[in-house]
Amino acid sequence: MRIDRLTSSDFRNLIHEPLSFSPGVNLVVGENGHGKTNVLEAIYFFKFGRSFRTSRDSELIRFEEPLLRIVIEAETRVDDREAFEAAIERKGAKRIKLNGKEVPKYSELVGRYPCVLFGPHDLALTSGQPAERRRFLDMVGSLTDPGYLAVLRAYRRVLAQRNAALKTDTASALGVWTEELIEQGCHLVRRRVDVVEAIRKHMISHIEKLQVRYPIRVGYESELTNSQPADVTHQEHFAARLAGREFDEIRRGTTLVGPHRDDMTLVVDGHDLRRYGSQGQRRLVAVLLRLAELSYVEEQLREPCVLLLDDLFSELDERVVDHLKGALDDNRQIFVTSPVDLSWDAAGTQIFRVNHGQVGPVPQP
Amino acid sequence: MEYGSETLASLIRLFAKMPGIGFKTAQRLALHLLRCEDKEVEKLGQVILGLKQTVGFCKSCGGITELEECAICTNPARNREMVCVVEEPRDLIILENTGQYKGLYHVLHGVLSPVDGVGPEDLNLRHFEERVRANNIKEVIVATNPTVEGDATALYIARALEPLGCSVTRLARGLPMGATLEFADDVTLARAIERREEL
Ligand SMILES: [Zn+2]
Repeated sequence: MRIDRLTSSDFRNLIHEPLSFSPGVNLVVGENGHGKTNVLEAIYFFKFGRSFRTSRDSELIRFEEPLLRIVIEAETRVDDREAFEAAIERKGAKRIKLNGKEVPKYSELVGRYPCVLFGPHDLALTSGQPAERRRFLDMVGSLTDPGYLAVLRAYRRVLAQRNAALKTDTASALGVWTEELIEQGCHLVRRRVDVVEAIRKHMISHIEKLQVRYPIRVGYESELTNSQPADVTHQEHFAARLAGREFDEIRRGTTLVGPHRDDMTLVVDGHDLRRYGSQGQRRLVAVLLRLAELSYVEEQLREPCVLLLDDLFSELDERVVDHLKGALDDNRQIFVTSPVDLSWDAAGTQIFRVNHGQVGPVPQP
Repeated sequence: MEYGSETLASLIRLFAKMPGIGFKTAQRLALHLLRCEDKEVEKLGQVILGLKQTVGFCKSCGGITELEECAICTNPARNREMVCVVEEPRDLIILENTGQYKGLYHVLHGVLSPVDGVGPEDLNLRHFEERVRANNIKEVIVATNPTVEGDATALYIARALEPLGCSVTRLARGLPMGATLEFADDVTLARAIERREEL
């Protein structure tokens, strides 16, 4: 994909004429708090039809304004002129259009707008709660496997129903919700294991290029797969684990076993990075996970992703920075925010300056 | 909104509560009735009044009828060894309109959904086992929707009927008519392949 133009009105504090982008590197420079990241947020919006910073759409609308608009014109594998439009009202109405036609379900956007974001919040992938890593796996799975989202939704629905059944005394039907949970749960675990395997595979070449000197292992951590005896099926094992916890589950009114409690293991040089690890290692592995997402998504969609790098270079060491810059060789479009002018020796680099929300291109010498 | 008549205003509000009717349509319907001849409106009023008094549900299957038992349950030409279980009277009508099915029905009036407080005791299931046993029914086809709730309900019925030894099948969940392979999610596709039917 290549993003040609961004038009927005009343999106956070941004004020700008339509911005035309370079097909190579776009540097967004400005002091902290002036709105650099807001530019990336607007660009990222169409990946899933939502922000990467908040789940409350109304926060995206400029103070005291009734509605915001974002329009992105892009060249994608589908068509060389595609228009992505969003309109969000403070009252709650939200419309997304693709080439003038309303998109009723945002899941239709998935895979249509391939971009990968690297930013400070990625640190949560390596040092945050298991939910952060599950969200990462589910996101990568949804982008690369058209059935993933359907399985994930079915599992979440069954989980909600079973939790309700555990709370209310409809014990006579609990058995069927347990059976459904096992069926959907096994589908989800199988898919997550596949995603972790793909991430593992795609990380290898990046680890080599970055000349990382210690071994890094990723794996899927599940009470279901890790402790499974060889002679029983996933379904039987899941059923046995649930049966063992049923008393607790009824007492607490919630499902205690299943993929909604799983995690991804990250073992660096023999220790569990999630618990023990230097900030440097955590940052590095977070970047590696995003790089693996990038290569895997590109392989599956057969289309180059747009890279969004949010204030990354102040945090990483030079080797990593050089490798990320090297990604340009593969002909990807890149958007970079930075509080200071970066020296980026690439032809056709376009610089934008952000000052109190005002965004404009800096004329090239 | 000022209509000059509280009766008209409340009619509009009542129409607007109905499924698929927005405020504008409600207003148009109400103003249309105001213009109609008295006889027309009287007839409509009587039919609506009679709806709840005369129309009820069949004591055998739960389908819509004005009698104790519905026209399907009392029709001697229907296959009495086969029962198709559906969620709502609406689904019975859809299946009947295809003209393909010649057996009897059983209408659940809902699906299992603990989130909404619906358990087995809230569905038309109390006498179902008895109905299957007493009438020597050989095959039960569960035609609940292919949702998480529809699946769980189908499973519940299958488990409940297990001791009776009759055959319980699920409506083949292939691709919806008009859906192309390209846009079917792979769960649907897998099911369609797994439960493929002979041509
Ligand atoms: Zn009947």
